[in-house]
Amino acid sequence: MVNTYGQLYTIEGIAAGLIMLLTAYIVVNSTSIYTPGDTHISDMQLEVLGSDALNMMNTAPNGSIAKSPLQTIIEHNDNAAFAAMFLNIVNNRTGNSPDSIQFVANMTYVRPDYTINSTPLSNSTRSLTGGEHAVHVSEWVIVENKIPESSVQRKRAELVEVLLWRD
Amino acid sequence: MTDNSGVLSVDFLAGFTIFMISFIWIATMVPGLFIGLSAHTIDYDAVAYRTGVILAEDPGAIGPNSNDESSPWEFQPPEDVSRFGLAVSKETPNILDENKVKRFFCSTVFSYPDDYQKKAIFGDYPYRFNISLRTTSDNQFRSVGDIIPSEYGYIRRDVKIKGSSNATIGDAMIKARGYNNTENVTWNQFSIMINAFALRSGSVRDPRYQINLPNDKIIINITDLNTTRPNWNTLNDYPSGSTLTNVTFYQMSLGSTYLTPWPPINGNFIYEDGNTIPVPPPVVVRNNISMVFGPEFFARGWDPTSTMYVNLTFNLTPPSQFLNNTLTAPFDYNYDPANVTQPALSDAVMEVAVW
Repeated sequence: MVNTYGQLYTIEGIAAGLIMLLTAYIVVNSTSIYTPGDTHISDMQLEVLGSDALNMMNTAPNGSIAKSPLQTIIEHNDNAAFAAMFLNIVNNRTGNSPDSIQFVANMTYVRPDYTINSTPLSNSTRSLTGGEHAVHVSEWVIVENKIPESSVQRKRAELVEVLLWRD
Repeated sequence: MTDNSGVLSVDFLAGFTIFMISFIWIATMVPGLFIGLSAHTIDYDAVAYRTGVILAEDPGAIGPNSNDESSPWEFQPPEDVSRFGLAVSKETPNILDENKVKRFFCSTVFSYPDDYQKKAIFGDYPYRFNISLRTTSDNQFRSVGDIIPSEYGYIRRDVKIKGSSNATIGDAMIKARGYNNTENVTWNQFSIMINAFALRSGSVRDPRYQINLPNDKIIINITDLNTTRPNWNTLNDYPSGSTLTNVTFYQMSLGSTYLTPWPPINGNFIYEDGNTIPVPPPVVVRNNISMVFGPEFFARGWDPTSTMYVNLTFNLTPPSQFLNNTLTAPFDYNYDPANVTQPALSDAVMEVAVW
């Protein structure tokens, strides 16, 4: 004899089924541990290196020397010295083979008329094409120079900004 | 016959939905419960980063049971070290202390891997690691740890290592400052002044460049001792010509005018003519001597506000002009670059690998 024992009505059955499917999907999906931070670890390492390098360049080698190498480089606008020193520090390793980090650096300051000016400071042999995964680091430097040349020499804060990436 | 047996009610559907929502919520939290248990497989980079920060930016710490709370960890026995840290101070990240670096990489003091896991790496999981440091100027390489496998967490820090100050008293300085007496005498005395209060509270307060007594080493080189003597002939006159017979120490507290004798050093501290093994006085002088005063020198009842005097007594045969400042002024070990080569910061790179 045909009857309705053990039979679900359509709407309730579909609803329960959907809930169970949704549950299964979410549970299965959530048990995979994704670590999106992993993708940023190399960025973090580069950022630490670049920040360390600028900090070390902005430290005088001893107490008898009043200015740090970075201050001297900016005051003399010595692009080659910046490139040589920065590349040497960031690519230095404890082993024999050096790293292959490239960079491009800008310098930003406020003019006497309170406008902001940003000029290229230095760059490595390989220029930034736009496809690189570069990170940004910066360092404030107190320098004593004349900007423009006709103005009075005085101390000013200039911001050195560096984009660096692995070749 | 049709009845309602086996038919789901709205009440059941509502209850079941609430249950499922709760279940989903709990289920999504389950992976979080296990993250801590499986962390060692995914956080090598994080542990390496943390270790790099601890070593490069922290001065370290001593344990609560230390008998000498005034001394930093590098002068404590291993069991009293709570945390390694190589920075000169908390205010000077990336500037490492030479004493801390030497002690950290000393395999005879600390055992690998236990001491390093407890005091630098931390965490419940027994991470393996390799920490290396290379000084750029002299290419000196130091490391502790295992051979690095193919997959590991990694961080690199660019640092500077703060070295010791030193003074060289040579022919030009001796003549220019009248440190060479004009009479031919047998006994000559030369005095060196170390004003601890001025070194600590004087013109240089930056820990990166400060001569930090009592932890920093002091090196005093005295050169051209005999070659500048009138009628001196090294071949004929050495070794009986001049002898550093005694080195005595005095201390004068701030505001006092009295010198308090200090006990002699229980150890060798005089290096004769570039020899690498120190000797105690008396020392037959060929031409140059060096004295190295480490923390053990200052540990003998040192007063941080005092001025210390190191008096060197030379016996000459025959009587002669020699190093002698009893009629002028003691040599001042201070922040004047004309007197003292200031502590230099050497470039170095540190790598931490964890797996």
